[in-house]
Amino acid sequence: MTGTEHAEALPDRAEVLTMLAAFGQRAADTVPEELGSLELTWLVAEFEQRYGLRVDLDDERFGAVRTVDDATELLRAAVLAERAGVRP
Amino acid sequence: MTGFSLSSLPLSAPPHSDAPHDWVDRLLLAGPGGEECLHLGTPLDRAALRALVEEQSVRLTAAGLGPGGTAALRLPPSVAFVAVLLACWRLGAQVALLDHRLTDHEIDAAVARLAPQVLIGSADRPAAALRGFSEVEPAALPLPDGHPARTGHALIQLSSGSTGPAKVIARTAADLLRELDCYRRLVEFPGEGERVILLSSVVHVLGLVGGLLNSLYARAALTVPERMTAAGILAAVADSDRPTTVIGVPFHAELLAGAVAPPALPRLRRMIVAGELVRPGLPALFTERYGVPLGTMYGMTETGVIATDLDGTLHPAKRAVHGMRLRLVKGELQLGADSSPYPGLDDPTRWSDGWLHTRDAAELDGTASLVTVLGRLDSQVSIGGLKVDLTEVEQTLAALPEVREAVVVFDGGAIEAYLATEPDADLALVQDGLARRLAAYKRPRRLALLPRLPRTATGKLLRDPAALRDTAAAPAATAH
Repeated sequence: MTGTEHAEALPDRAEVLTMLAAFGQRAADTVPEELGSLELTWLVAEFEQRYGLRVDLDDERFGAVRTVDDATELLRAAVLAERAGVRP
Repeated sequence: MTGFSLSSLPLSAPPHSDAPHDWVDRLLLAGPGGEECLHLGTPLDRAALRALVEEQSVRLTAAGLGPGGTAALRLPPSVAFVAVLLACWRLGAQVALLDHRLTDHEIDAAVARLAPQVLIGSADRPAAALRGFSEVEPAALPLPDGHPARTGHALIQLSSGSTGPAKVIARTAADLLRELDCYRRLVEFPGEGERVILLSSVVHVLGLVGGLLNSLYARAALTVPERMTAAGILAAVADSDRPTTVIGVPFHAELLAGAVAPPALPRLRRMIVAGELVRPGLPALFTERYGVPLGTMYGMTETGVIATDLDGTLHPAKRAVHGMRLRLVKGELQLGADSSPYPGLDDPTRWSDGWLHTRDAAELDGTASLVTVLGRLDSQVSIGGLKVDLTEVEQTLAALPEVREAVVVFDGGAIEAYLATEPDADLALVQDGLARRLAAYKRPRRLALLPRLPRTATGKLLRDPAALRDTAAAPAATAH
């Protein structure tokens, strides 16, 4: 599942904002701190595309992601879990 | 089936009596047994679907459902949803569709309002985020206080209510067939031998009629992708060996337009979106990426499709579908409709004298066949194609014990709430209360607690998003 150029790096807040800004072709500094479910869906799709990983979330975990920081934490955990051979 | 008639029958006629006898069997389920009709994870042919519908018919009959009966479905998009819906209709029952994302509180209110005789849900709630469909085992619960159908409608849906309880929207079987006939007349819309990749929920009108029912009626195979990410959707399109149309909401077109290096998709014919206005620039971006049009449609729960621009050549206008009569009254678009789609509601601001009020602002050309929709005239907004009435959100918040007053606004594609609360109100309690009462897609993305809400010079609550944000940014407020 790995093998992209991002496989060794952990996503950070700046990268998450860059991925979110691509939704609706916005500037990164106009991305609001609070995420809606559509933005989170977009972010997961972007992340999977960049990192070659698949993020499986149940509704509860999906609903618990409310902010850019929550999402950054979630995606970092997904990369770390993949490295450890454990699906989040 | 020509012209636009929500119901040409007296309301006391039983459901389905305005449609051809056995219309579900003859017009939706008929066809070669070995022909693939659905693909949710695995392909399902018509013979297998007929067997599943028959199996559900037996179970629902055992639960007490029969001709003129009433059922409410609370199932996620699934093969079970399709089989149960068609079985209910085949038995001659009236079916209310309840979005599976509604909370128990909202479902209880809907059941109290509609009084169905049977509630069909699933024992488990396996829906995972980003999944296009679920695998569920339906369970039919007979409700002793349920009533048989009081009108001749086959389909009942609830709107997000602006005042008081949600509005009941009803359609007859003949009106569903009228809409299917409109689709059949559109050569750009998927027909026999083609494939539909459906991204919209089958619980709502676009996915239900434009997606599911049209596919069965026109004999186009319907696929729901396993994952609703760009990669998942593109994999489903690439898997098709037939001319393929993707149907969804504008968000799905955003997802696909943002895909990096998509695979070659020689069978992709077009994507069609509806449910909300399309961002300027998105159709061009989509066509640049895939070399096919991004078509758009305009419709509403009450009537289904109203106007289309399936080639994207009329943008932002759309052409009225066959038999649709349009007029403008003080800037509001109205549709010719012989009867009201709102049983039990006598509200001349919604339907009067043969005209249905869309509450959409629009422009019409001289022949009244090309319409450009400009936006809502009321407090309804669209979140990913799902309709949310801001007044419902505001009233739900104001009814919470911690909240004295609430203002809910829509800005930048998101719902925001500003609340005047009791001293020392606990935000977590407000959020918990809201989560119990409102489905997730209706909840504000941002909740700001204020000591008091800002007002205009004449004492009205301020509703300007920028001014509300400024007030919330002041030191005494807390935003979450």
